[in-house]
Amino acid sequence: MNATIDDRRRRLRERAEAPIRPGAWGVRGRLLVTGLALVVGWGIFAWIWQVSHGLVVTGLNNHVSWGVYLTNFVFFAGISMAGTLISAILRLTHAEWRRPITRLAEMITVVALVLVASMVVADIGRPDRLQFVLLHAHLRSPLLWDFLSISTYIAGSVLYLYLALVPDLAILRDGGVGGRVRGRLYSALSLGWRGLPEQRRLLVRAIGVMAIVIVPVAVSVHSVVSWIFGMTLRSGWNSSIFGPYFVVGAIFSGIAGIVVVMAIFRRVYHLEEYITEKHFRYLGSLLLAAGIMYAYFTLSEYATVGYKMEVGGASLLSALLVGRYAPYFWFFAIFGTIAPIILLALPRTRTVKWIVTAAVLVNIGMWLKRFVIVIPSMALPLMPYEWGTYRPTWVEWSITAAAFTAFALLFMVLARVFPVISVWEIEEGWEAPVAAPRRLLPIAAPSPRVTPSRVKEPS
Amino acid sequence: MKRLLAVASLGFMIAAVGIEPAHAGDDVATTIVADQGPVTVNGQPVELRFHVRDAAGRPVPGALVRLFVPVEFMGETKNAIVGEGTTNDGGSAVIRFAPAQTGQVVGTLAFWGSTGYAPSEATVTFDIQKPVYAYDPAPMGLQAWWARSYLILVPFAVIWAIYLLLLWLVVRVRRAGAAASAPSDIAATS
Repeated sequence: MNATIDDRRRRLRERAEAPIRPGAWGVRGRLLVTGLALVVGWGIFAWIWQVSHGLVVTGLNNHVSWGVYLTNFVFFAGISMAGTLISAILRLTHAEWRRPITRLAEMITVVALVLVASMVVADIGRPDRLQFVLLHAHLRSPLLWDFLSISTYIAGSVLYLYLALVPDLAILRDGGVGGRVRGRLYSALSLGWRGLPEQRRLLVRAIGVMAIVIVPVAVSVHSVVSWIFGMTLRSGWNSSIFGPYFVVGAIFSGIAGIVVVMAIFRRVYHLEEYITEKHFRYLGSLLLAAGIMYAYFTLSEYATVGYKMEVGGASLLSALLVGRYAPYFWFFAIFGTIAPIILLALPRTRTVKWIVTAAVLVNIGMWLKRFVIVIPSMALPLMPYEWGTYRPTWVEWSITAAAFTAFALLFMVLARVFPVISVWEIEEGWEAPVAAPRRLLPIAAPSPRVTPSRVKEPS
Repeated sequence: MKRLLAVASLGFMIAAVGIEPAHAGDDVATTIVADQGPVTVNGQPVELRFHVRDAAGRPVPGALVRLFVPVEFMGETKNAIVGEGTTNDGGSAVIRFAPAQTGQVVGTLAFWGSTGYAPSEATVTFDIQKPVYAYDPAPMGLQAWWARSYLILVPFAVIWAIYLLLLWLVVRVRRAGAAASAPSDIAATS
């Protein structure tokens, strides 16, 4: 029995450490990283061009002052929300199957939040004035609430990711993985972790508290993002359900993001033994539930606007359903919502391939949905004038491409430094039948498993 | 005899149809007189006082008078009842009017008649310079001692305090590791 566990433990650690070891990327990996870095570099050049020449080089204008930058902002905020939220909820509900995927979910959040912040910087045009948000803070402004909630969420997500990383960092430190520089990093970050009962008790308590705290923070982030729109009187945004609508949308697109990232890492790093079809099926079920809820919210939102047919709402609805924005809206509705729901609901298509296909469709559809939330309401005239026009320029497309590429690049770099699967949690899961079931709750007393004799057992 | 009865019945029926009700012709004509000329409205509701009198100039008590003004709704203009009042023994009444529109509005005071009194109407002009809102738009915001914008900071402060607490736990994890320097205490996970 011990030999089997030791063998599994050795294989797991080898698999988790493989991407971190020198030369792990190989030639193809380096080429890919170089390609990604070039795209990101081009995006940075485009941004410098924009800063030098002003926002006039974008398609933004006095009618449509929020364009693809804000679309990306909402999209990445949605992706970021689900990562930590899913991880925290699965921890709090003691879902045993969560163990191999929580790390990926937490990493997604941190990476996406970096891009959320960068999209704000891209959109304001004058980044040198960013400090005015604080220097001239207006507490009644949803923009300031957004700043507060996103900065709180970034701090919380990094802390949450870090806390769950500590035992794995100690494994890397003790294994001498990653050379001298990273060895020092692991040594510094692992907090002198020895797996002592007191250390475990404190860490379990910290993770438990964080799992509870991060849920309302995550919900607040996307609620406040929605209020940036919903607190105005513009048609299409003037809605009382925008908070929950955005939160559900974030969960929908975020789970889809986790599925896609999970599939890529599973394939590239050969994690099939740990990230199994079961994980895809379970996440597929969550994705299905979120999709049905999102479809319901969408129907509810547009049905109420369509029934009342207030002048602005009627114009907006026409533009969305049969007008200039209809292709985007219907792509979202058919391929981004209905088709994934069908794929996820049918037993025949509940396979890894189709679940990943559904997740990709959801991500494309949800980006387009954010586009038709942001742009048409801005283009709709508030006074009797013509509709505003908006056509993103090469600058905006370059920065957008760089943002999505940076997502992949940052993830590759993170995976080069930290294990993408939580080794200690998976090992803990193997011992789960003999462990106390509620040990991740902060009020839990130390379980019998973490007594000194039990802790010493693995070595 | 039968022929006589038939002729008499026919004559009675013709008379019944052709003759107006006895009281209709006896109704006394009435007039409505508003106390004011053009009524100026400047953001406050106005009280329109008027009198109903009969042809002899005597007050008509208990007369229900309605005030109509033309209003536009869904592209159609109709007369809507915006107030009503019943005259007292002196034949006078007051109608309170809070217009929501602006400009000159010609309203109609209408008495639809009652037993012994014929209907009558009168017009009254309102010069509405500023409409009356159903609720006061100023001062803006919820007026309560606890409604303060800085309270938005409270949940964030609580969350950041918890973060600091967790960082303190992190420090304690490090201290626990440092304290266990003796090899016998070390139970490495690797």
